[in-house]
Amino acid sequence: MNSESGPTPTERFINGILPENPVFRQLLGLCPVLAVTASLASALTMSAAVLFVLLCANVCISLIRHLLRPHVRIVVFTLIIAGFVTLVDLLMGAFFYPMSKLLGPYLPLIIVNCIIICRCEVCASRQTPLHAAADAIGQGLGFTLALGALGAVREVLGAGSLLGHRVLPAAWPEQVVMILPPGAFFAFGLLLAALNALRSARTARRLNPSPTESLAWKPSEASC
Amino acid sequence: METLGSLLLIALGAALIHNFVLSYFVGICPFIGVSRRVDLAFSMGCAVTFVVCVAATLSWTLTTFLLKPFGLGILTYISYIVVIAASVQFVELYIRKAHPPLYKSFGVYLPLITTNCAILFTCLEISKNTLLVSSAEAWGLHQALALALGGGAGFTLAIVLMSGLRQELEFCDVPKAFQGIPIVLIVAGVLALAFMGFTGSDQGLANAFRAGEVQVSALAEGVTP
Amino acid sequence: MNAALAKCKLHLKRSALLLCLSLIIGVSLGAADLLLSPRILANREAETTGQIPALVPGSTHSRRQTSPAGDIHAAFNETDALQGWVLPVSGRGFAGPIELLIGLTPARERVTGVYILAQSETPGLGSRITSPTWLNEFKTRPESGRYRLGRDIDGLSGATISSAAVVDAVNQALDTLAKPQEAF
Repeated sequence: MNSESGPTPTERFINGILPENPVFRQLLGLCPVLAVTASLASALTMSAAVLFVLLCANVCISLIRHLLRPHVRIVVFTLIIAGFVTLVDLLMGAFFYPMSKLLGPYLPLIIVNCIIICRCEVCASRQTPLHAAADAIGQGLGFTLALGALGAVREVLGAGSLLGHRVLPAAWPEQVVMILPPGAFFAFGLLLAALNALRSARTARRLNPSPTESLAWKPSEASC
Repeated sequence: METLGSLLLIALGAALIHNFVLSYFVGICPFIGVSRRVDLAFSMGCAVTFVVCVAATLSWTLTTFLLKPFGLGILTYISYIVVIAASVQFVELYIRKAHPPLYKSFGVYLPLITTNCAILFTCLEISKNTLLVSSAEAWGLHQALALALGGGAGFTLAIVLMSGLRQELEFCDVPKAFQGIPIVLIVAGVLALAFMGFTGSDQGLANAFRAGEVQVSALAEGVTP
Repeated sequence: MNAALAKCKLHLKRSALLLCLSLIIGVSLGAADLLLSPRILANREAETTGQIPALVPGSTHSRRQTSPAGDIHAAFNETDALQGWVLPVSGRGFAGPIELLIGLTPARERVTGVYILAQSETPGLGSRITSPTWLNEFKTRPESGRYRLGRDIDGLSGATISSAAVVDAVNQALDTLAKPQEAF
């Protein structure tokens, strides 16, 4: 079947981590990226939850991909995602209660995280469960990478600690703004700018004739 | 708790003190994606406000009369997402029939609003204040609507401010690495800093409202305060 | 008539997947809920009850009761003798509500401990109300019977509103509970 062709599982996996990183390259699912990265622990918990939901939803949808009808496709996606998010919410409440309280509404907001819907649409509804699983793990790790980076930077600068352990000397003036809402915007903006600078430096070294092309961002317009 | 003051506090809290976009980070994607022009940003803000009000009404009704009495809390998320999708469809149909010019300006964004987290966030806040508390403390429809209106207004305010700033940014000499999204995020950070100035004002407002109520009730009894 | 029936059948056929899916999701979530909800409830309860031994010296277990000020936990020792009370209250802080637990002596006239259950104050400033050193100041009984910020309790610089909110909440709890001396 023609629609089965596409990137191989390995390609899907590798693409998700850096070349098509959902956060840095596609700018998808920014709500949790900004909202739960005040500490590394909450950022990693959130990533784990997203990875779990993405993996389950991708595999499930890939299994039933031949039954999907065009006009109910999105509804089916949303229903399956909402089911798994409820399950994650229950599991977190039962086994990681303090974390589930800390993440609060951002855990159920995974339902409308566009990364998951986007992967279901792009990969899972077209390829085999193996492709879908590899894709989910790759994209999930890419998401984890982004959240972990932001969480680490914000926690170190804002609280002088990492995963609750003090890493900077007591003399370090804690930049409280970094763990407050504005700090999320600053940290993410600076991180994107640094990646931009890095990429344009690399393209300049390679004498790539079109350096602007690599700077083109494709923000998902109104969704998420 | 039934007073106008408490409703105003909920609405102002959602619009300014804990702005949906700049403090809770919901609706970030449209905030970045559709904030290039002021008029489009305003349309988007209005569309979101409209949908959020419809969704809040529906989800409050659903929670109070179905989910809570029958102990179906487990279906909260699923039913909310269905309600949101339905209300987006409903709003789209209504606008297309009743206000075709408006439909033309909104049209493109309406289906995308389904996955706008501001809507689901509002529904979740409503469920937190109806499903998980005792019946005496549970929110009424007016409180749910106050949150929805305030949140929608806060979203509109943030996105319109941002688009105005971005129109000015086009004439600025932005360092190459910051061009595009990074500078937008930095500007949003400054906006968020400005909005942090509202923190704590809810306490003062609450005291002012209480003082006002005492005066009004004293006047109503014919006693000069 | 037949056309309508056929149309109905077609719709049913088309939505069969959706129906089956809803059924599967509903049943599996129901099962998960049955399995996990006791644990979640226990977690929610333990959040408060886990703090009681620290708030009321000598207590090992507690029972929830109703009082004029809402729910209250009676704390007992191994021999089931009343050691004190723990009252959950909430105050309005700078950035949002502050939820706290107040430990009281059996006669409910003295505070044996204060614990901040939840708060959203500014990190590094208002959030210092959670520091045990500051909260321990409540264990010293004020001469007037009420705590005054700046005299009985140090005002935290940069966190005046947050610390005042905690002091107000404790005073209010003492006011409502200390007066009626009958046991409830």
